[in-house]
Amino acid sequence: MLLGREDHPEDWEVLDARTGNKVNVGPAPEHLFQTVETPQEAMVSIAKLCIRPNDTWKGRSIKLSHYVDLSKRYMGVMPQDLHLFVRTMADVPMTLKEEFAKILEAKDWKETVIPDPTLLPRMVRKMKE
Amino acid sequence: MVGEFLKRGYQPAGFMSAMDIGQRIVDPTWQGIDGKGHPDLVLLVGLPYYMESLLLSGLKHFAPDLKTMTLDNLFHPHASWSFPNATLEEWAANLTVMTSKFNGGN
Repeated sequence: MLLGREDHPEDWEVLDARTGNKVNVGPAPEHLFQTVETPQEAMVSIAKLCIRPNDTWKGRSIKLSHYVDLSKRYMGVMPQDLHLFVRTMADVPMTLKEEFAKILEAKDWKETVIPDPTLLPRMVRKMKE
Repeated sequence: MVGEFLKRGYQPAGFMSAMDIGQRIVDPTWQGIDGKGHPDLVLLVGLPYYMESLLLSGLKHFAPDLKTMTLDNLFHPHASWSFPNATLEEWAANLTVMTSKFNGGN
């Protein structure tokens, strides 16, 4: 198994190629290789593991709507970690804005940027002064 | 699985994938789902046998101070405590005896 730890924020820091800043992109994807117990859990995990750091706001919005829909359908609950995948309010699916707003407020969510992620300093187009 | 508990009126304290839990338990700095300290006893029930066996093997090797207990109807050699192989009727009877000792007996 190649499992990540979403409770270790330092593991999810990358460079923004546009600015050279370090950005926390959240557990995207949380794991590279995982095992689950049931086909239902697999459906939900598949949706979550499609999330990646260089999603556009449109793509992230679609993926989150899939994740929420599958989680409600197969697990019977809203996902508990949505606040980790929302970078700006544009990432929130339009039909779920109110539900997300409540969850984000409860988790003290702060807006971040949508970066152009890279791990390679040589890929940064503008070096920090 | 969580949905099934909720339908039957139970409120889980938290939930995550079994592999996630196994990974965190072997980390001695992890303070538990509630943040109140590293667990010292892990109870496993209802996982697919091969998955539970692998989890228990990992916990045995990488968390040797941890006690593990399984409540399934199949014997798990990697667990600290395990039920023996039993029929479903014997298993149900054993679980009923155990739960009758708890408060409420349900």
